[in-house]
Amino acid sequence: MKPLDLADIQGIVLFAYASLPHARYVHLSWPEGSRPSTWLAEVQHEVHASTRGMRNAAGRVNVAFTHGGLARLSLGRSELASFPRELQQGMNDELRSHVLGDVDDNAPATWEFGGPSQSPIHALLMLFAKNVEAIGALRDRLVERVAALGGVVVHEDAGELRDPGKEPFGFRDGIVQPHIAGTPRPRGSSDVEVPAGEFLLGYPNSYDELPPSPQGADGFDLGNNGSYLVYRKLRQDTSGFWRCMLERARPAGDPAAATKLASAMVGRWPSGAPLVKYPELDPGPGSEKEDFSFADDPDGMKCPLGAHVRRANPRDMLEPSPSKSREAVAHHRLIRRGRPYGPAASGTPRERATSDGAERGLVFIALNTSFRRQFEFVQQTWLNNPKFAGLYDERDPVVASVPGEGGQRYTVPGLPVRKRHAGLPRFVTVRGGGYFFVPGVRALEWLAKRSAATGYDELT
Amino acid sequence: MAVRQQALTLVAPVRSSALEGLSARLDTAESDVQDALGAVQSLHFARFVLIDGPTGPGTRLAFESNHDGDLAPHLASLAKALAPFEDLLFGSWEGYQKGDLAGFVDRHAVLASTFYLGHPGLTVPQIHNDRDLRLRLEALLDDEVARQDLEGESAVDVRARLLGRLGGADFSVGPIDRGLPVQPVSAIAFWTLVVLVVLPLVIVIVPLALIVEWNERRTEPARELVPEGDPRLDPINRREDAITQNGLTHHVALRPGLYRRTVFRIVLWFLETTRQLISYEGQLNGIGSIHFARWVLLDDDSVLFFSNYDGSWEAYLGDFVDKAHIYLTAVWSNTKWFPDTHGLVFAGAAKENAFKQWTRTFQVENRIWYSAYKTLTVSQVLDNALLREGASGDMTENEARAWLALL
Repeated sequence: MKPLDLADIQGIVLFAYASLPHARYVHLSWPEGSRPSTWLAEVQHEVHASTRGMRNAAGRVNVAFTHGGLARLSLGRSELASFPRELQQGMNDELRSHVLGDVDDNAPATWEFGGPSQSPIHALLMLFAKNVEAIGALRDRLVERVAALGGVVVHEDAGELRDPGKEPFGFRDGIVQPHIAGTPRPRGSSDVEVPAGEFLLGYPNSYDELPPSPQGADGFDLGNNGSYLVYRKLRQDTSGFWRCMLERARPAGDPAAATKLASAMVGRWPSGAPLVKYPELDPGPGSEKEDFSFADDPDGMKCPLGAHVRRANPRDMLEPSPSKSREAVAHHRLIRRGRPYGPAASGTPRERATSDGAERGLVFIALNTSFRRQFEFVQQTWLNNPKFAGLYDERDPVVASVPGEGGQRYTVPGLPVRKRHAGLPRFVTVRGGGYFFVPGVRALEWLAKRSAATGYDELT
Repeated sequence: MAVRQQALTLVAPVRSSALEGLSARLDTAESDVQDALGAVQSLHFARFVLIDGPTGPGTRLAFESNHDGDLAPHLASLAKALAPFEDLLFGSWEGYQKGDLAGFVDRHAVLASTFYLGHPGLTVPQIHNDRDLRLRLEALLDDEVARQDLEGESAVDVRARLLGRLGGADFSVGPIDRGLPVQPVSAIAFWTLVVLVVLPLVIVIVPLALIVEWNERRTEPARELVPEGDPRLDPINRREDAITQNGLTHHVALRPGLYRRTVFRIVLWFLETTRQLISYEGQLNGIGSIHFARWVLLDDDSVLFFSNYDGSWEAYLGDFVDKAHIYLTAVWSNTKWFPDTHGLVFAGAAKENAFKQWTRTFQVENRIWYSAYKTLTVSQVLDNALLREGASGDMTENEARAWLALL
C-alpha cells in the first residue's frame, strides 16, 4: 500500500481538529480585474500540512478553491477542463441543484451566499483555534492580508465543536468516520477502514483505481494529495423540530414520547445509542460507538427503514445481501468535517421547542474524490430518494431537502400495523454552499508560481 | 391465460426531407405524444430517439415499445392513438406508407437479441389495478388507525376489516396466472448447458480474446471519450432523474473483425437463453431496478441498448459495475472504445470511472419517452401484486402480518 505523503496533504483531510474547537470559514472573492496570485503566494506558507500534530497548536489554516477561483489563478483551458464536471459547474448550477434536490426553499437563488447572482466565491479559508481569542486573532490577521491583496470577504461562518458532540437538534453526531489507512490519527472503535483514494487524489480508491486527477499543462499532477470538499450551510429549525415531535407524540406533549419519536426518525437516541440495539430506552452515553447491523432488523421494527442513520449509511441493509450491501456502501463514503453554528441549544424537549429567535445549524463539510459517486449519491439515492429501501413515497425525515407534496411522510413499522406520519414540515434548509478543490501543499506552491508567471492579459 | 410481455424495436432512416429540425419538433411534441400514448392499454414503456446512421449523425429514427400480448392489436392501438402525430413520427421514416404501420413493422422490425423483463406476466391494466388497490387500502388503513387504536389487535382481524370495507366492486383481487415457470430449471440442466455448450466456447473464445485484445491495444487509435465538462451531456442530465424512472439509450458500433461480430452474437444468445431458462423475478443478478431492457444488433453492426430503470443514473451504473460487470464486459467489450479488458470478461466494466465515461460517450438523448406507471419502481409493482394476491382468501396470523407490512 502506498504510504500517505503527510507533508503534502492539508490537515483538514486527515484531521477533525477536535482539540481546536473554534472554527471560522471565510469565503473570499476577487473582484473583476484582480486575482488571488499574490495572496496565494503569501498564504501558502501559513497552510498546515498533516505532519503537524495538534499539540500546542495555536491555530491551523487550510485553504480551498472553487473552479472559478482556479480560473482566476490563470489556469489554462485544458487544465481547467481536467477537473470534475461537478466542480466545473459549481454547487449552484441548475444541474447540480437537480441532483441535490436544491429546489424551492433550498434553491441557490434563495441562498445567503454562493448563489447564482451573488459575488462568486473563489477561495475558502478554514481556520481552527483553541479559544475565542485565538480564532479571532487568527481570522483578523489573515483577513487583513486578503483585503491588502485585493480580495473581499463575501461570507463568513463560525463553527464550534461542543462537548459532547451534539448537533443542534440534540443528537450525538459525527460518530462514525471512515478511517484512512496510514493516518496518524488513531482509528476509533467504530471507524471503518476505507482506501485513501476515496478521499485523496493520487491513491487507489475503493475500486482499486486511481481517481481521475487534474493535470497541469507542464505535466504536473495538480491533484496529487488533494481532495474535493463540499461546503453546505444547513439551517436547522430546532424549535420547529421539537414542537412537531411534541405535537405528534402519543400522548401529545409528553417529552419522553417526543424524544422517542425524534429518535425513531434519527435512528439513534440523543446519546447516540443505536435504536437497532436499544429499541426501547436510551441507555445513555457510552453505547454510541457500538457496531451494529441493519440486516438483523429487516422489517424496521426496531429502527424504521427510513430513519436518517439508515439513509446516510445503509451498512448491510441493501439488496441483494448483507455482504453485497457492505461492498456497495463502501463506494459511497464521506469524511465529514462539519461543525454546528449558532448558540448551543440544550434542555428538555419543551425548552427546545420554544424559539429564542437565534439561528442554529450545521456547517456541513465533506471530503471525497468523486462528488457524483460519493456526496451527490448519498444525497440523491439515499437521503432524498422517495423509494429508498422499498419505501413507497417518503424522504429522509430529518434532513431531506425536497419536501414531498403536502409535506413529508414517515412510516414507523409496528404490529399489527405501521404508524404513518404525514404532512411533516421541513426541518433543515440550505443557506449556501459550494464545491471546492483542496490542493496538496506542493500543488499550492505550483499554483502560486504558475499564477504569478502568467500576466493577467494572457487570461482568456 | 397468461399474457406475455413483448419487445418491439423499429429502426429506419429518416427521409431526407424530414431531417431538418426533426429533433426539435419531436421535443415539442413529447408531452402531447405521452398523453396520447396513455390510451394504448397494452403499452408499458415506449421511446422515440434519433441515432446515428450510415448517412450521418442523428439520421435514423428508432422506436421501442414494451407491450402486452400480440403485436397486431398493439399496433392497431398505437396507430390509432398516434394518428394525430403520424406524419411527425412514423411519417419521418423513409418508406413509410401512410396508414400502414403494420406493413412498415413487417419490413423494419428488428428482433432484440436479449430482452429482460422485471415483472413478467403483469399487464398494464393489472399494474394500474394493483396500484389503485394499494392506494385504497392505504387510505382505509389510515382511516382505521385514526378511528381507533389498533394496538393489540390481531393482524387477521385488521386485514378482515380492511377487506370488508374494500367491498370488491372496483378492483380485481386474488392471484392471476402470470405464466411464470412453475419451477426454475434444475441446477443439473443448467450446469449441463454450461458444460456442454458454454465451456467449449469459453475454451476457444477466451484465448482468442487475449490475442484480439492485445492486437487492438496495439493498433486501435486512442479513445475519444466525452470530456468531464462537456455541455453535450447537459440535456441528458436535465432529463435524467426527474421522476422515479429513467430511460437510457445507448448506441455504439461493434469493433471491426469477424471475432468481435461472432462473439457478440454468442454472448447475447447465451444471455437470452439463460434468461429464458432460469426463473427470476424483479432481480437481475442482484439488480432490482430494471423494468425492461434490451440489446439490439442493427444491420450496420452497431449495438442499440434500451433500458427502463428506477433511480438515478449514478446508482444504475454503480449497480452495473458492482454487480454485473462480468456480463456487461462480455457484451460491450466487443464495441468501440470500451475500456481495456482481459480475456473477454475481466476488467472493462469493472473499471468504474472509465466504464461510466464510456457509457456517457455513447449515450443518446431520448426525444420522446413514455412510461405507463412513472411513479412505480419494479419492487413496488411486485409488492402491489402481492397485496392484490393477498386481498382474497384466508390467512394465518403471520401471513396477515406480512401482508399488512406491505402497506
